[in-house]
Amino acid sequence: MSTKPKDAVSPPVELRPALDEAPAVDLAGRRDGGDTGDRAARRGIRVAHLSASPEFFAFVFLVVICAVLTFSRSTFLTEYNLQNIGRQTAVLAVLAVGLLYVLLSGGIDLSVGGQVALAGVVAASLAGHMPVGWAFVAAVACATLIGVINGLFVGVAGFSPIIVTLAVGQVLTGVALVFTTSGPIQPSDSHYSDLATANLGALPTIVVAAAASVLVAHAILSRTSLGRYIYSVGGNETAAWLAGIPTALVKISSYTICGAFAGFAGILASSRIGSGDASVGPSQMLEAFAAVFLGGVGFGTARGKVIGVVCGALILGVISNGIDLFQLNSDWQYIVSGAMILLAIAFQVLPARLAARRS
Amino acid sequence: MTVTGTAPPFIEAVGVSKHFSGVAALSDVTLRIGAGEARGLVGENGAGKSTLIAILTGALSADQGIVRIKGEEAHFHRPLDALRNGIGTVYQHSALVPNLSVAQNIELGVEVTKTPLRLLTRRTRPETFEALELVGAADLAQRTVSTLTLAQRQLVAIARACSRGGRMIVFDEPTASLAPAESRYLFDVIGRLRAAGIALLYVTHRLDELAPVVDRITVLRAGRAVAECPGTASEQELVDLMAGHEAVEREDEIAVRRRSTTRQRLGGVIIDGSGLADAAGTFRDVDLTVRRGEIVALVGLPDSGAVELSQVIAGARRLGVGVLEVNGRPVTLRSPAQAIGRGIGYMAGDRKVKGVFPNASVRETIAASALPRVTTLGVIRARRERQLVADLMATCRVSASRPTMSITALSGGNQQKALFARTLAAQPRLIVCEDPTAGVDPPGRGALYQLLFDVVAAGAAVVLNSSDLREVATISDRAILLWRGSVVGELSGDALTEPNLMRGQFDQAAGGPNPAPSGTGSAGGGP
Ligand SMILES: Nc1ncnc2c1ncn2[C@@H]1O[C@H](COP(=O)(O)OP(=O)(O)OP(=O)(O)O)[C@@H](O)[C@H]1O
Ligand SMILES: [Mg+2]
Repeated sequence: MSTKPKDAVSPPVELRPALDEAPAVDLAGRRDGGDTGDRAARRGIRVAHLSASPEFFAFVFLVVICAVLTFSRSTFLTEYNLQNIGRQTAVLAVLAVGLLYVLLSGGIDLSVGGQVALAGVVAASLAGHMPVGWAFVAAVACATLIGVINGLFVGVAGFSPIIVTLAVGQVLTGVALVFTTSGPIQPSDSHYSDLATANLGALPTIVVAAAASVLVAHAILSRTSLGRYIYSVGGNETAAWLAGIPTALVKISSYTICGAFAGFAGILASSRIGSGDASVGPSQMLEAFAAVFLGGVGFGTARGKVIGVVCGALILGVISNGIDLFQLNSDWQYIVSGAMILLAIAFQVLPARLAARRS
Repeated sequence: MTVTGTAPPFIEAVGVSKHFSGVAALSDVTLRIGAGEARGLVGENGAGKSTLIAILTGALSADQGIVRIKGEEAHFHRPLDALRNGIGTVYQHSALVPNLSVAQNIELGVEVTKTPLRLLTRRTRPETFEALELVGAADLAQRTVSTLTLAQRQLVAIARACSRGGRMIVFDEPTASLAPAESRYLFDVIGRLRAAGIALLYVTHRLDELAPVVDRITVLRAGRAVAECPGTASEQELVDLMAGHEAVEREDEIAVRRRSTTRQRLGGVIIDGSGLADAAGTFRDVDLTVRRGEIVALVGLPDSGAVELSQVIAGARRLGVGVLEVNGRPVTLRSPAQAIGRGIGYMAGDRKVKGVFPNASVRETIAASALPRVTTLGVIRARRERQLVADLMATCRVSASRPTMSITALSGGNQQKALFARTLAAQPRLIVCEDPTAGVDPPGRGALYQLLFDVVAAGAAVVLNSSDLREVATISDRAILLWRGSVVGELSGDALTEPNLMRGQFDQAAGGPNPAPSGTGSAGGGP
């Protein structure tokens, strides 16, 4: 063995020095490395790929339902009604997108119902003592903090997410209920409902706010390293950790983001009903789960996209609107949306099964 | 003997084709295997071996062509159908139910479908014991599968395949992640199966395994059966057939060429460990120095601590005692992320469990460890990422029809290359790798070796942990032998040969542990 280190200060390996330079190590590619193929063919593949995706199914589903309602109810396609649907769906979409983060990271959050309830109660309580805007900010911060706590339990302490968040959710709902024993809290500020009732041009403010937050959520998931890491951790946590991904931090982040979105959904809901009511949480949570699954998000598969979840929320919003338009009892909502979920999952799973069987 | 010229072959696939989303995996393949015949099946990564097996065993159905068993057309819809016809399959990682006992696993499926409501009997059936005896694992019958080693699980899978009156067993790279001793035992078992008149279809990338095991060898290239040769065909012949016209350098030539340059390459010390031990005590009192420019192999049986030692260096396992210096500074590595931060890249063994994100595309997989290189303030720059991944795919010869395809749709060997690319992407100065070429075809292996050589030539170092001793002899500059947690020797230069490595492992074991997998870890005796 040599005893004279020749280059004790050699630079780190630079196999791919500058990204646009010719590769330093050229092993004349014996086989097609991939990325060639002409553009049209690639676009063809992309279209085929798209049409097989669960998001696409959710979208088609939505379009079909809208078409049916358009033709059967003349009041469906009116500005007033569409604004109505928008207001109704905004809360749900925001909450469902938050849930998506946790599901993609391989977890689950059963405390979002409690977070929604708590955020509404906190906002309504504070609204008399400070400007409404600040009361909202404080409520969202509160829910975000709960998200951090969930994340620490799951990501650092290693507790089972379903148990931890169930427990945390119970506590939060309980706290919100204790605060409202004498009925929903009526904020003393008359501007409390402005967020839900005002319009920006033809669009309700609440829809614009929800859309903005959903776009941010989409950008984070699809464009940032955090988004990638969330998918990786959900896909295979061991492999993610071994590949150098900070899995604990990723989980904390996903629960935190979920908390922030639940808090935001909470103030939107509270502003809509004009009070702080602890009972809105649980039903909102179940609907949010429904929206997520309608949007093609698998449970435990870490697959799914914001666009699908938004479609899922819109499907539920349109269905509930349709039930109103047909003047059915609103309890039908549950039956119809349950059936829709079954139908949606059948549409997502069966084609793949059939394709695999076909010989 | 019942051999007659006119008897139909035991199994035949005639004119079989299979496409995956428009890409041909198999085109017009015809394969006939007689009763009791042992057939080898070789080909590059992605040649279609696993696909052909899946069609023969009912896990996939062909687009065109037919499968016949003893002259009759077979319509398998799932692996159980094939099993009922006497065809069992053993994979690199065989699918067993981890929380059931060995005996329960072997009996799983058949009786349940006959009488769905009857309680499963507690008593193990005699056929189950017979089958376990055939593979020499009768003592495992009541063990829970999750407590078994990989090799033991394979024995169980074989027993399962034989227990239903198995007439043929298909092996898809059974040795790719076994230690040498375990592989040797597996060959014993295969010998017994052959003696019992059971036909074999044996897929491997370790060509030296073939001659003792098989009668004839079929070569697949790009989805076509291009040749059928006798089992004694030389490795060089096979490699040439697999690769087509291109010449592939022989592994012993690589070794000679490389060793001649070891001295010039050696640089400063990058890893200096003294008195190392992990918290569980799987290895103790290990001193280890790794210099820039060298490939150091850690060699030992599964209980030697060799794998654990490399995991400590990679940050994947906590150091218990001792001082580990990286580039002259003592470090405490709590996670692979911290190791990457210090320029140590890790490529773990067991691709499925420790490597692949099943929901990711090829591009996302390769970029996963190097996102900081292609992001600005956490936002991924799509063009830079595309460029980085395209370069790495070319360098590592990852053959995928497009980078956005799912990583799980790649053939096993190509997945392995993609994971190697992921490790390289973070530009490590030291690469710790476990079985880097498990399931990689000979040309691809050559390419990966060349990559490792390039990496060390550029001043990096490699710590290698491989169950393939030929690989160790081919590419490493030094091999450190471990025995039961202690360093017992070192081989380098001309002494670093496959037989010496083998001897280094087993001389220690003389009179010691039973090399049979069923004895691993618990057998008595000592050095
Ligand atoms: N589910 C799938 N979807 C799309 N393509 C697939 C799928 N399974 C296999 N392929 C493709 O079919 C081809 C043959 O793959 P196969 O797994 O049979 O190769 P192999 O010879 O077993 O390779 P290896 O030696 O790497 O295991 C490859 O190009 C692979 O990408
Ligand atoms: Mg294969």
